[in-house]
Amino acid sequence: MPLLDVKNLSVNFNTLEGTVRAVQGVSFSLKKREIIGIVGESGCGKSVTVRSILRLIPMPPGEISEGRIMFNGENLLALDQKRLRGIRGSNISMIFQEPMTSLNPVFTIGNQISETFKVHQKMNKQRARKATINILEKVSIPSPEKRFEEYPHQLSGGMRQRVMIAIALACQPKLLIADEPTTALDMTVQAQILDLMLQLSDQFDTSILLITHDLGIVAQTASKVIVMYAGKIIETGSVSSIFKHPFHPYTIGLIKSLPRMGLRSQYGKKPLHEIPGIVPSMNENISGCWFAPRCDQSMDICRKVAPLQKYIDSDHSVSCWLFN
Amino acid sequence: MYTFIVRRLLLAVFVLFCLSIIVFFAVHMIPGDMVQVMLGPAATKEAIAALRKSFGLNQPLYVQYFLWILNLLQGNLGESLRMGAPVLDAIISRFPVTLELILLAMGLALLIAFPIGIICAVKHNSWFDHLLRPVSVIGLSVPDFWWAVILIIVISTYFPQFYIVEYMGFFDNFAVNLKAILPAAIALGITMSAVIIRFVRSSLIEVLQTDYITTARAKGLSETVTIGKHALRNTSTDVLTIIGLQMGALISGAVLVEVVFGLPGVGRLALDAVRQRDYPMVQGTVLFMASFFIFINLLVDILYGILDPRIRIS
Amino acid sequence: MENLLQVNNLKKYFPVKRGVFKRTFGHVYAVDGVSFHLAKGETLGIVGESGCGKSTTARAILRLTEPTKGEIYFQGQNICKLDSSRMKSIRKKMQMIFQDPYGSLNPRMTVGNIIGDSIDIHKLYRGNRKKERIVYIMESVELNPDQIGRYPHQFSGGQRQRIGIARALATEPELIIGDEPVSALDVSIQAQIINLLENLQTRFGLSYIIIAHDMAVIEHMCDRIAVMYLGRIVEMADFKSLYGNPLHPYTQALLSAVPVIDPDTEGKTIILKGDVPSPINPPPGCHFHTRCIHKKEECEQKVPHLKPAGGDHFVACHFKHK
Repeated sequence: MPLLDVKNLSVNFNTLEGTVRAVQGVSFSLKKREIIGIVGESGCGKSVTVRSILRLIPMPPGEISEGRIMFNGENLLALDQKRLRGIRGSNISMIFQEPMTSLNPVFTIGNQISETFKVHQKMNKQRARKATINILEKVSIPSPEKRFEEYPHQLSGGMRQRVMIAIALACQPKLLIADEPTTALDMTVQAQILDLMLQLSDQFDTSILLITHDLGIVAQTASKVIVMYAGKIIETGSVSSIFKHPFHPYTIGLIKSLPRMGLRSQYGKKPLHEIPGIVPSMNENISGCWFAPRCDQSMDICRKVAPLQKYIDSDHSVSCWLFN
Repeated sequence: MYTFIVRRLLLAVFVLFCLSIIVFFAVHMIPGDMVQVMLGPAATKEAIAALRKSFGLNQPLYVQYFLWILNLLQGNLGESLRMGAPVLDAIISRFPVTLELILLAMGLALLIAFPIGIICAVKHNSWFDHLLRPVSVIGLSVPDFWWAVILIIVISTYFPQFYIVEYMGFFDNFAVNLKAILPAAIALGITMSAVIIRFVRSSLIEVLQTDYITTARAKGLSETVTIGKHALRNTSTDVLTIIGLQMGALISGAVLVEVVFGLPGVGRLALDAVRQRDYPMVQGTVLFMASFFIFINLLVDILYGILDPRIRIS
Repeated sequence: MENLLQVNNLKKYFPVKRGVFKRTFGHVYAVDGVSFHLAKGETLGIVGESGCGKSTTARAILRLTEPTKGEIYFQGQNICKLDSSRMKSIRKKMQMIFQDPYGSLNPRMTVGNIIGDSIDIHKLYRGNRKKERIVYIMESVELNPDQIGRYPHQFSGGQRQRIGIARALATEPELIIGDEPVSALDVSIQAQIINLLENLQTRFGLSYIIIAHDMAVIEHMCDRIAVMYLGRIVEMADFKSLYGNPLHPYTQALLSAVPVIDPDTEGKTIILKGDVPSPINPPPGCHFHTRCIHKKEECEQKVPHLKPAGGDHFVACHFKHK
């Protein structure tokens, strides 16, 4: 049984300009100890998808119109608020993109971490303090006793993201959802944080759902990749098969359009591959494949009927008429 | 934090100095001569000149100002020309009434505004929120003295047992005191609460959209803790600043409401003094109330610094 | 090759004020003695992490912030000493594009007005000639001239960056400084903008200074690269030797931290300890010594200077000179 099984998830946002279909029929599953990367450009629905797992999207205007999210045999979408809160932060945790704004500026680091222990493990103040200092050590924050009393603004971006990881991993969750955890950080700090996240999740047997726009990070950390475009999954597969043999024209374009280190020294300067056009607006109603208007291989059928997911081999699937 | 407070204090002293100049010269620009008023139309020129001299009114304005300031620094606001008693004593004896009125009004306003503001923010765009918006506009646009008049009519017609004629001190007779002050405080508080509701609502809506609220929810905290602890702590620092600024409106509102309800506060003292051209009293009351306003805002600034660690520890 | 720009020992310190009377307490050493040159038609990359002074360097070159010390020669003329009217005529030839195109475009102005404004300030064209010029520039950045009357919010992120580029081009500049010009853009759009910048460079004979943190983008775009750390250049070389043979331990760590897209390349990431220290009181000696794995006693005391390390390669490290 997979740890997490998302079936046919659809999320809409009802705005004044009409319904934005942010996520349209997304299905995937994640095994124990697996690391899956979800990649895609801004507005592709990757963030909304993972936030829906813990129902952290604002409702209204958001609305999960369809689907089922099974976690450990329970449908998260059918749980009452109290049960759901019991899962948030203890079985499933989240880390966000902006370490500068994801911690409350008026409470100490210690206060914000120990809250998790108090809520989920019913610890009293002293025990929660001890556990907090322990987890601060685990995320390699120097002099944790002193940091316990400090406020977020006294810490650097990298340190704050370590605090976020401490909060997320405090209860040794089964699943960690990391939404662009290193995008706002400097390069050398990004390497530190990724390393720490992988090391601790390995130690705690935690699976990771990693959302990023950086294909390099996915290639280096995940075992499986989900590529999203305009609210839909267009290709999934193991990291090696996706990066070596991408099928979907969008995935191919995405990989080719990225400048790669070493290429210029080796082969000289060539213009980067371009995907023409822009991402479609999500309140449009496109009947066929949403990528067709930008696709250089689009056929008549692409503009009429949406392609179905097709398995190329056991762990590689693609939604494209070229392979149907 | 220490330098923060010192800097605020120095600023307050400077503002007070500027204020004293404005108050002094503004008072002396009130048309009409006090001595003329006191002695009546039949007074001889010589009598007027003599009285002016005895009050020191014959000296140039800047000399008068200088003397006034010199006395002020010694805690002497001069003597009332009408009552013959020291201005400061008169103010001190009247101030508890105004203070009680203002504090009660502010307390009432907060008591009304916070729950309503929170509900509006949490359920924003709900029917309750939509209903409250025009209601708060009405609250904002109707002046407090109008509420005062309405309240007097309502109380005297329907609840005559609550209608009192004679004001009594807080420590003399608490029940009568409250009966006298409460309607006035309600009249003042209604307008104030409308302002604060809007502020609590917009501030909380903004805070609820921040990342740290999502973090709090993702931690598994209940909505009560998320809003009650994480959101409200940030909103209350915002609201604190508006309380300081609204103190001005409250003080000026108190003047009118005191008159309408016949409360013997500083506001009425000031108004009577203006009517009688009692310069020292006008200067004294205006300066006192302005200092009170500055003091409250200084307090707010310091409190803000204490509540917001980004200012406290920089 | 003639140097378009020569920067000598550029310094920019910001005072830190504290206390009741805001006395100057110390300085932020944002840029601390930076020297480099830029040849005509060349692209120079400046990389580094936040707080390394790369953006301040760019702003100081345009004198958007007054340099504390140093000389900036543009076309052989020291522009630090120019008065405002003569600076204005120089500024026409040096333009800047920003990371966040939306924040740098006036939301109440149409595209035509935004581009036209730059033309007006420097009194380049009038009337019909101006209109023709705006259309020509819009076409150059691949914007549809029919959209001349639209406002910035009606465009996508990539198109807004094109507007930003168009505005820079309007004054017929020689040098364009791009401060993280593509880092806010999505991958597929990033490629479009990079290609556009390269095309414009050949077409108009532009010189570029590109400030970025993405090492792959820098390698693709730049002929020479300066690596900055806490206000100083620690290494400078042509792209081939910098990426093929990085000498400074910081450059090595920076390059190793780039996640490679090929899953089979098991990158040996050098993980540096700690954060970048504050530029208010930077560590003495070599600024990098607090995080360097090869640190020796000398590094804590003596400031290493940028010295040649063969060919066009310069490095500021006590132990890397050949």
